Amino acid sequence: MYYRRTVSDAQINRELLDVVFRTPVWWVVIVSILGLLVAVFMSTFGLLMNQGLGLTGLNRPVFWGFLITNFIFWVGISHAGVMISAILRLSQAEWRRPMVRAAETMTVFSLMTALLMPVMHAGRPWRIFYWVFPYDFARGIWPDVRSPLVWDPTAIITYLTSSSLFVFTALIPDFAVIRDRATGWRKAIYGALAMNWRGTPQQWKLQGIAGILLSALILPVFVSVHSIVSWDFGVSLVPGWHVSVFAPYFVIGAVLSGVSAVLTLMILMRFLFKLQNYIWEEHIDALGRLLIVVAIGWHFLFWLDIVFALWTAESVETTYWQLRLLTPPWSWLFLLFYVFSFVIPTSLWLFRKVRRSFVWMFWISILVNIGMFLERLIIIVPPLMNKDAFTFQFGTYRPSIVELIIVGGTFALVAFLLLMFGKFFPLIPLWEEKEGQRLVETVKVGNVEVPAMIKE
Amino acid sequence: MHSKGHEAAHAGEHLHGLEDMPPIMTHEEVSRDVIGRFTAVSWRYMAVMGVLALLFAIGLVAFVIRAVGGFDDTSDWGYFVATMGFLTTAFVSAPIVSAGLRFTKAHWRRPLARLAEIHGVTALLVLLMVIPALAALPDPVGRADIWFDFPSPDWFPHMWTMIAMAALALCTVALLWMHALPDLANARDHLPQGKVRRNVASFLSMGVIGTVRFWRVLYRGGLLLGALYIMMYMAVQTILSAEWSLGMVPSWKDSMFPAYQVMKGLQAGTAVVVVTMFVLRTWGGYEKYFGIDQFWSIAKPLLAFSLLWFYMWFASFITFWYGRQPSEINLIQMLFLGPWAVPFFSSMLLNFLFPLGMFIWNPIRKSIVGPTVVAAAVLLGALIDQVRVYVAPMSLNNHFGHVLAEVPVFQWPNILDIAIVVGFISGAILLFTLVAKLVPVVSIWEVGEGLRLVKVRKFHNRWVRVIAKSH
Repeated sequence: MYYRRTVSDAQINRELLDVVFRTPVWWVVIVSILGLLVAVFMSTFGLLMNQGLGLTGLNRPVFWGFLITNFIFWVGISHAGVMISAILRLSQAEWRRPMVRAAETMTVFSLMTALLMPVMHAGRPWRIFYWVFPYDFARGIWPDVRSPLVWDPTAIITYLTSSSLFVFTALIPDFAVIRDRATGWRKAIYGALAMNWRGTPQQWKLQGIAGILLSALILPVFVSVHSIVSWDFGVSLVPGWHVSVFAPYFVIGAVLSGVSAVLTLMILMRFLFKLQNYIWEEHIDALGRLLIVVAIGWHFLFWLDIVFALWTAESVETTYWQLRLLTPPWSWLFLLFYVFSFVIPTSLWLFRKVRRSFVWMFWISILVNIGMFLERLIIIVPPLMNKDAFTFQFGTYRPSIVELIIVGGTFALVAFLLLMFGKFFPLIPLWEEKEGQRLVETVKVGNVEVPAMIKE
Repeated sequence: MHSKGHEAAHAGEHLHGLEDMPPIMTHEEVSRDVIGRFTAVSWRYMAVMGVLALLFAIGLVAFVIRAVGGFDDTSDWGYFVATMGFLTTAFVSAPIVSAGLRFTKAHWRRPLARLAEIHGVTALLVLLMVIPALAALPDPVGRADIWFDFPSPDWFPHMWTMIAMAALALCTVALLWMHALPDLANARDHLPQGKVRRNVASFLSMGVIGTVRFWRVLYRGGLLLGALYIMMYMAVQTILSAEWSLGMVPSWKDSMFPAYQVMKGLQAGTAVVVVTMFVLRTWGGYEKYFGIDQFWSIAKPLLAFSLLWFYMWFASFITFWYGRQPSEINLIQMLFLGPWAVPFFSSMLLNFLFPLGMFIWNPIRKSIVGPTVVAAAVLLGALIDQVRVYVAPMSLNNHFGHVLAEVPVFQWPNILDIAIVVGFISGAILLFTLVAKLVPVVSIWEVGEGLRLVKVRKFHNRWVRVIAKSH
């Protein structure tokens, strides 16, 4: 990966801060539509609080459905930020530069959205306060620290805090650039956010150290978050959930889904924010190659899950897998999930032409995430559909319209938040781009000038 | 050595940065140097070969004695299987290091890619070991089996396991041979007429003359073969884990275990490469090729693999710990806390705590001795770990049934076991030293290619390396 285009510092400032200083019409239109959808989402949330969980399709024995599926989905999406930012920063991958900010921001907003889901699922969310802060010490009701359901919010809030810090630290030099170009109240706000950044060697050194330290420290949190989500299932004794491979399987699945979401976001950003000078074919090509490796690793763990579920031929496991693989509608959903999230993407990503096509990559990344949503649904619901002891019928679950609106609303919410962020802050880090430009070189090999990168 | 094609030499300015850089040679210098070392057979080399051959012969004798005793008692074969598992985990996995680094286009891989691929040839030894190991397996009927009811001939119920191992061995030899073709052609063209080594190189190089088409096939084919090797290795580790470990223990259902073994392979394979680099640097005269750059860079994935290995172990452990079903309680006793606690905690110390404690310090990573000491510890830990995961299941009295009813006592190795372990590991090293005289241990063409792609230039107040992206 290398930079082929030379962009001056002034051009970087002008192009990447364009939306910050000027409000395009498309932005107003899209934000208005998304705002409307978010309003519908919030109203439905209110209705659910008012009327109770009876509005959902949850029933005995299927107590976890679309809301928890959506929770896992958005926690999964949040894994893109650290994968792209921290890991690629530590491995000094040059092609990371235009995508780090967007990926980190998506992490923050996805996590915030994910946290809403268990709150809704709790039915009476105000009771969470009783649970966190026991209102009557005499009752002796305390959170059970041995339960993954307690680790979950702890890990997610830690991840949210560290990711927010990560985004903020990387934004400081850019705040200063905006401060120096803004006037009035904007200058005051960006000035406060820039925290007296002057770009001295000492400040740059500290900024670099902070970036590397945060990258290294956030990695264990990154791995722990989805592992803990997987242990919500894995440490139970429910057949189909009590699986040791779930932790890495969830984490790598989250990376697959999150990086695909970054791909979707990058392509949309290029189109909407006119970032053709910064997001090129090489970037999506690199993401495509990364996704091939991730998808193959995920597929290995996926097959281990199936093979070792059937390994001992216990009737409880085989019955559940029959339901999952052979009984409609689950069998159809399973087929769709497998084809969407692995077969089609991995086969197509093998072709360089596909990896370098914005149109192909956009639709493939959407397919992956449809597949990954279905995967989470198939993991959660069928194991809960125990066979009734007398009728020998499986329990059923069908999401209600309320659940569908809520799930759809979360997509609008994340998109809304991202567009709001993109209005006030640059979605591509100015300083990363400028640094990247300074590291571009060429080396003459034979008769050809070959693009090269400076490595310290 | 900062000489030809080197802008810094002409500048004559005193800037920082040059002191950290590896010596820059020309392709011809590399070729002459490596071919010279490749053809030289010193007394030290012969002595090492002699000792290794002797140990291997003792191991073979111990194996024959054991085989004469029969294959009915699985506990007799525990250490043999553990040795097979160790060789697969440590040596056969080494080509993944070169394949993976080729994918990521890591410039520092060039000198070490070949030695990693040579280690893969151990798969041939493992292939031979699989035959008696299969004979030591109890009847698959009544036990969990990775092949389920996949048809295989009655006279050869383990045919698919053998085919998988043979395919892996074939793939590793193909990987080595393919990437060695340019250097074999080089040896053919530069060694004196009539020498046996030249005739061998001439035969193996198959008339390669380095056409454009050849290089294109080499680049693309090498990447494809590397990808195939990685996937086949994952499959083979799954099969080995299922056949000789999981399948030997009633009710042991652990979908993480094969992935754990693959991760162990990545860790131990990397460690083997580090230790080999150290040996070749210290006693082989290859210090120009295996410098700080290589040790410092490879320490990072070694740390990452150590952390991931612990993570995979913990993810598996917590599932059993929370499950607390009767068979899971016995499994925990068998694998971690009961009679096998000492090997388990030793392995945890050597494979996780020690690498973590050492590698968080950059000065240790950025040294020759630091990564080598850690890698040696990792290899020792890997051996102990393979003893734990294979000897314990093989030493069970009853491999059939629905639950693990008993926790096997720790099985100390007897003299035959020790001879087998030491002998077959020596055999793997012997194989490496032999193949290293058939194929240059440093990839001349890759190092030469790297030299063309690197220039040293002034950047502000220091000299830096500029690396061209050729592809």
